[in-house]
Amino acid sequence: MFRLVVTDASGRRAVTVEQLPFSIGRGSDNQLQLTDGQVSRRHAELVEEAGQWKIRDCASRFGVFVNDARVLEANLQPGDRIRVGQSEIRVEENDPQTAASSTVDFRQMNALLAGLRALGSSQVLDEVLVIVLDSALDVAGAERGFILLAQPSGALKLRLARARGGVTLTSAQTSQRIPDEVYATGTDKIVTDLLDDSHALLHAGTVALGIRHVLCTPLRVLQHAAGGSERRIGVLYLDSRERGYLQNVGTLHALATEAAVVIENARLYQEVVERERAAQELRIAAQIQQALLPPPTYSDDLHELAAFTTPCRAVGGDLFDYFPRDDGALTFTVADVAGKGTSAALLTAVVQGLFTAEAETADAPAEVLSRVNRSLCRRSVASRFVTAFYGKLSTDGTLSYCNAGHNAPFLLTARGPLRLDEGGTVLGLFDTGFYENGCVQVASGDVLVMFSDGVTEATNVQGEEFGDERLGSCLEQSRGRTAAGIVAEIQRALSEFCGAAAATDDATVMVVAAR
Amino acid sequence: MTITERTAGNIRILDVIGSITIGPAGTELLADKVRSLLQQGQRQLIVNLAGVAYMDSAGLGELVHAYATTTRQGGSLKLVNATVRLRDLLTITKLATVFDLYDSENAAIASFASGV
Repeated sequence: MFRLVVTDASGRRAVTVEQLPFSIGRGSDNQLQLTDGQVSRRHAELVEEAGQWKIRDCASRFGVFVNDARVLEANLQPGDRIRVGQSEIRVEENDPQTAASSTVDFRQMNALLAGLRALGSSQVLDEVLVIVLDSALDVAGAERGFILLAQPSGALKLRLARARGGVTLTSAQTSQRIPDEVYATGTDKIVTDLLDDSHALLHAGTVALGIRHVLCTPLRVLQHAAGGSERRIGVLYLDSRERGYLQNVGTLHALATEAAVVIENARLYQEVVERERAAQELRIAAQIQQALLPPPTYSDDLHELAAFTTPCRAVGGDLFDYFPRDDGALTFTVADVAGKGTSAALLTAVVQGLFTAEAETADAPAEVLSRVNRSLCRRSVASRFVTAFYGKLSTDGTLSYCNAGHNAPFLLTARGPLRLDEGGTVLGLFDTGFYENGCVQVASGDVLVMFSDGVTEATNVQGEEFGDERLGSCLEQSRGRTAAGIVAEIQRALSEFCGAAAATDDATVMVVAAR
Repeated sequence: MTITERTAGNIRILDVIGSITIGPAGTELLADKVRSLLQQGQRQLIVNLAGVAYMDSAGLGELVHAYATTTRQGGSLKLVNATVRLRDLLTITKLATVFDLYDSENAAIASFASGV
């Protein structure tokens, strides 16, 4: 048997001559159809006479050339070059040996996959798909190949389209319904001739491209864990304008089976790489968030300040900040954005920016929070709000503050603890929100302890909450300590209380001691 | 969280069971439900929180969102059977004055009738 390697306007493809006579022409009823204006409807045919293969001109308009000489009839042997119109056809021995070697050695592919993994390539899946598709095109002798993989939603998505000769197709389409049907049923779909009446209407778009033959086979992996049941991950779809490739269906099945495993491995590996990259980005975000915070300790002649914030995830929705002002006053804030994680962290950065912008003004805390509230309402994100405590400790010992729906801070005085809850409701929900100033006189030795609900709502393994009372008695026990000492004591008490229980919220504490 | 609906005259009562939180894909079940009732022309809503044992700040945000949406469209949303814990949360955040809180369903229904 011979095979013909056809080079025409649409590229290069191999066509196996399965039976004789074998007709060549522009018409769709030919075994080899050439869509070429210089090819006659029925241009030439291959025939066998006394064991000898011949090509015969069927009264074509532009003639048949064998090895550049025009012929009406000529003997053929491997290596001969036939030219009809603009198309060139090389005659080759259809060596089963050659066919076998064109099947991919998947041990090699797995080795390649291992290599790509070792390099940490994030393109593993793309590379594997290229290899699989090119191999399938080789085995089948098809013109175009497609791999569609199932999305998490279950819908198929085109991942790669290739044409023979290693060309990636960017706008090519498969038939709409064949892949879906194959994926749903898990059985092959082979259409030998889309021009058959029963198919032509269903696949009009594909037929318009001259596509006649389609082979679509599911990609499936066996799940050993699930008792050997199979899971379909997508489909391999091949099409062609020629007959002659369907004889390799068995090989193609073997290829699809092996390929599915390799594709699945590559996909899983890529997921790991992507997850790792996302984790890396979160680590960077966490570093940036930490860098946005001021140093955790501060002191001047009148104040000693210490703080900590522990996000329960990589990034958090709590913040503390403080600003020593030129007039000797210290302003400070602790705020908690509703929610946790990345979305809260983004809003936290916005809130911190708003406070920073307000810090330089001499306005009363209620005015500061009113403005922050209005700014947040303008940028409102549905259901997101912020609780905040903002205070200003002047050199004469006056602490003016405003509490916008935040856990009331403790002011530890010689006369006992006070709770500071004057203010208004949470920020970012109502642009008509009204905020009042609280005012209290602070003596030397008094300590202000601000905290977020992540502290009092921290739970232990029994599900109990740390609570206001435990925090209160913890503060009672740390009487006489420095701000840094109190912060350390709260952290110690919290971690002792929580034990092995995982934090479920961001926890923040800021302590300001008046000297 | 599951929400079941009941009707008492012109009033729609939503029984919320489970914890009110923002879903995995940012879905807001309660706020979405309230929005669809408002679209149907419903203006008198009662949210029964007896089955809500726990609510975090995100859940509170959703409750406020549902409340604000209702108020903006000329409706009113009243809360009944808030747990002690939720009342504490509403007190700390000073939202207790924002919401219409009732101890019993009958009291909430009566308040609609008296036009409060």
